[in-house]
Amino acid sequence: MKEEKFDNFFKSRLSNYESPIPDELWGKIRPNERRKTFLFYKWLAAFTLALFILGGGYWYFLHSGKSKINKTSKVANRKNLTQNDSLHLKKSLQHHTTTIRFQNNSHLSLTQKKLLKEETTIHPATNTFSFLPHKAEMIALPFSSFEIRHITNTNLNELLVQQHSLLLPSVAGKYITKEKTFSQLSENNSNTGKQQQKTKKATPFYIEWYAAPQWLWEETWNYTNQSYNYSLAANEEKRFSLQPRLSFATGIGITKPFSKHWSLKSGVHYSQVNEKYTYSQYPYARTVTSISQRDITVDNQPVIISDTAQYIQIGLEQRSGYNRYHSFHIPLLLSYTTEKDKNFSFAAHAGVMINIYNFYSGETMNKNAEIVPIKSDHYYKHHTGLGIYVGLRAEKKIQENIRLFAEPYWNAGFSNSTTSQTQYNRKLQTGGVAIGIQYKWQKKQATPQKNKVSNSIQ
Amino acid sequence: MTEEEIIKGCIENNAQYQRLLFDRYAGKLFTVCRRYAQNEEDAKDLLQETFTKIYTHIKQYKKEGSFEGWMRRIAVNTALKFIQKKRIVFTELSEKTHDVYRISESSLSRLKTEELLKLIQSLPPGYRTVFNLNVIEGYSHEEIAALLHIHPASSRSQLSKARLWLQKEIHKLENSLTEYERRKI
Repeated sequence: MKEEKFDNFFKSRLSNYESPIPDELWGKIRPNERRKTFLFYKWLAAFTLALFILGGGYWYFLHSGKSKINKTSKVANRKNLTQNDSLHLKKSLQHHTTTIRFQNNSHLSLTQKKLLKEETTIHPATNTFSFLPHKAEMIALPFSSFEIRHITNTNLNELLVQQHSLLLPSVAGKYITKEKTFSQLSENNSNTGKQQQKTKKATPFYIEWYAAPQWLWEETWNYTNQSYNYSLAANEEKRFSLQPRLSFATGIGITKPFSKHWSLKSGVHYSQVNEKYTYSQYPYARTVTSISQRDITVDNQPVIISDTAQYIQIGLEQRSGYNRYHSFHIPLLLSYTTEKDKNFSFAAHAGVMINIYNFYSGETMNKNAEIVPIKSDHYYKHHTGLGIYVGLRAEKKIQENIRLFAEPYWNAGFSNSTTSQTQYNRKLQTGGVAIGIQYKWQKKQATPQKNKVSNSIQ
Repeated sequence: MTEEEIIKGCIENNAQYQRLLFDRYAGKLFTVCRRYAQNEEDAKDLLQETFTKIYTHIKQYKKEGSFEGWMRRIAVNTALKFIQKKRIVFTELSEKTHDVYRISESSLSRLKTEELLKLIQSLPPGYRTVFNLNVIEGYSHEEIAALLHIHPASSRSQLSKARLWLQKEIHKLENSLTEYERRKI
């Protein structure tokens, strides 16, 4: 048969032939439904992230706004004080002159300014005014709508008052109701000042970015098919081998301290684990032609003689490639840190990693010992649930708000990454060293403005 | 439902129309994938990838040429990429097979299309690819050489060996069938 006829025969038979479609094939394609699933997890991830941000934000403002909350309690104190405890106030302050420093008096009413002028002594050089103890109630009450923000205590029990903030009733009320003497109050004012400065200073957030070279640390292997012939499986294992290759991870994190040493950490963690696979399959035969040449002399004439030999090589076809396992996690970690303000600090993190989504490329061996692509979720799971994370960190301050860090870590999933369709069950564990940068973000406070008030008071 | 309506529906990401498109063309495209793949599993993956590409890029179909032809090209390109990824070596197998096998038309016509497909799948990867591209898709050797980054002469040689391989296999089948029929009698 001529080549052309032969070719045409194949072409005519195959060009429009419709192969029967396996039932499960549409299930693998379903573009819209797959997109919906992906969108669902995308939204779930976004929702979780938003929840963390909102929760963190709420918590932050709740704590940074401590003074605002205190304001309520102070107002309550003040009311009690104005109605019931004014005598205590007088008594407590009777032997001392109290000096109050205003940052800005623009908010004061004329009556208040007049009162200050008449009943107090103004010290323009220090932006302060002082009054005698028996005037305390008189001075305090008209300004009771203000709230104390900063209290510093010098030798003269100086109270520092910011804009929209005053004054004695709350502080006095706080201590007077505890029946403390003014000397105690003075002492306590000093401490309270420090404490209040501390609480008033908003607790910072730490935002960080990191990248990490990592390695497939360890794997748990066992056969999915318990009745499998183990000696055969061992051969299959030789036929299909995997070698870990350098992998990496990267992510962003947010840390919120809730005490001096303890903090909570979250963020988004992306990891890519690489492996090289090698396998051999199908008996493979090829014919090798070997041509050798010799120079010989015939009748004193040089003659070249060529010998041709052919042999067939039989073997297995070797193939290799790379498997890549991509995963997205949301970490929820508890962290203990040594003194954060120092140049060097150390931290230990531990917690769970919530797996959001995994995707894969490469090949694996299924339970029938066939080599199959792993891109579908038939062999490797898209979601593996929870995992554990442990890390130790060293930090170095490079600027006031910026720190560099290095963190050796170990991360392992609780459940298998593989389905029951693969030859083995695998739990992927990774270890690496995250190198990153951390930025301290803190809500700024209004800085005290000096040398502004006294003149207008006068 | 017309082809245009299905295309429009797919552009709008309508699942119903996407299913219709699949039902209408999956059979033919699966044949294309099976011709290039070495086994059924690979063929299924190729078809899956082909349809994913079709759904993603259907907006780019310019209505120049037939829609089926456009989809076939996607399937063939996907298969070629798959082959390149697997780094198929175009081996020179069995120099001895220069024998000519006489295949009669009647013996060819007795072969079922599924058997032909199996024969093509049994070809070594290089032979199979060139045979498909040249004989079924109608690419010239120069075009094949450019696609597969090989020499045109190599493409010719692969095709000729593919034919010989197929003829040999058909010959074997024919013999075994004749033997079977003889015994039956």
